Amino acid sequence: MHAFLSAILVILALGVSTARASGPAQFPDSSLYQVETDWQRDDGKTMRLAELRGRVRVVSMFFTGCQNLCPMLMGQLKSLERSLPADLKKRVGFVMVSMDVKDDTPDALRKYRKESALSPENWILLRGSADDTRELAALLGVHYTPKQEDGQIGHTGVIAILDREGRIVYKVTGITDQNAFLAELTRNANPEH
Amino acid sequence: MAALAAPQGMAFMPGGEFALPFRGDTAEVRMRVAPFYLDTRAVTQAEYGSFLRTHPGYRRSRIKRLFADKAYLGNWKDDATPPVRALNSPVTHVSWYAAKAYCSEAGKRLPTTAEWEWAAQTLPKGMDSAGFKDSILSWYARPTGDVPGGTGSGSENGYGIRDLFGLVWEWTSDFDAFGFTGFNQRGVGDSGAFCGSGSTRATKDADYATYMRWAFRLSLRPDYTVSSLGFRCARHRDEKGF
Repeated sequence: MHAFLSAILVILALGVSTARASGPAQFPDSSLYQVETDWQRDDGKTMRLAELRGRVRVVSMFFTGCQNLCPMLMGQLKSLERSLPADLKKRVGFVMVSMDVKDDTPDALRKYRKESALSPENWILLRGSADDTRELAALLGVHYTPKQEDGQIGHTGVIAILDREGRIVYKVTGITDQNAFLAELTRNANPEH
Repeated sequence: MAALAAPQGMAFMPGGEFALPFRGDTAEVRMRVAPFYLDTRAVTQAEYGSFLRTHPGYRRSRIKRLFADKAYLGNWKDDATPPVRALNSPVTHVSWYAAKAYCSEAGKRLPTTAEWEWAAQTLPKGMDSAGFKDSILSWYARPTGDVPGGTGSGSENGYGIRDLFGLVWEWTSDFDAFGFTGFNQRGVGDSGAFCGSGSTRATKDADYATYMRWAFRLSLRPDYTVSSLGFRCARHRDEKGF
């Protein structure tokens, strides 16, 4: 019994030392998850992009006060979500990052989640600092203007698919071909991919 | 009073408002700038070298390809040695990502384009408006060597900020924010979003040098590095994390 316990302890110790030796999580060179910035979620908790690892992610940027492009993009994303087969839905997650770092507080994001009926299982709403948001936008290829006097932000409507390791594998400006988008999503979310 | 309280190496810039050098869909677009602090000089090679000692992930051999192109710090002798005799020169061959990281580690941030342009509008000491424009254009026309001159050797604006012109171009936090067909146009697709300077419309009063800077910024990619592009950092008067 003691020998058995010792063996387990040795294995555990080895496991720990291996984890330490490898240091912080390793990601491929082109992975966005290498960005070490902190993000606030609408539930008030803070997270890092590395925590998105493991699921295929559909990522886009928006802001809650957006009156033009975002409602259309959100409509496309929700339509896409509805079209996902149940098994795929569990392997895909939607991540929406706000460009309005000043006014999209966790409270505002929470209200938006409720109004847009976004399930906590499939949708993550994030807000970061001004510069960290700019950085993520740069990586995604999203351009946006400073907030204008009428409260609007001019921006491009990029929607990206990130594979399980955080690499951009597909990028469109608005979903004009839902079937093609879905096919790309299915391919990347396939456990054998 | 606020000017006296500026952090070391920074100068206080009062807030203000100015018109962009290009029009939106219908009318001129005015930018408002809140009071802020700006580094009086660009970040030097020596300062960047210190940063690399404590942040090895940003050394030439270690930086992730995602964050800088292959020319990153291309004029350095090795991973930790800046070009000879250039310690006081602005660091160049740095990407936007690296510049952002540097400022963030210093408890600062990159200035916004509006802040930078606002600071650049004040006339240098002892120069009138026409002479100022001429001096900028003649600098833009001059090819940059591989190593720029020392910081502090250029002109000083009325607030003690030096070398906004004459040494290097500088990164801003939102350098790519204005790459739309029209500033006020919303919901544009990427097909229309990258026409850049050719499709924006200069305002009647815009001076060519200013317009050229906006156009130059639009041509940049965040991982791009070149010998004529450096940066300096800024700080809001009451900076907050989120």
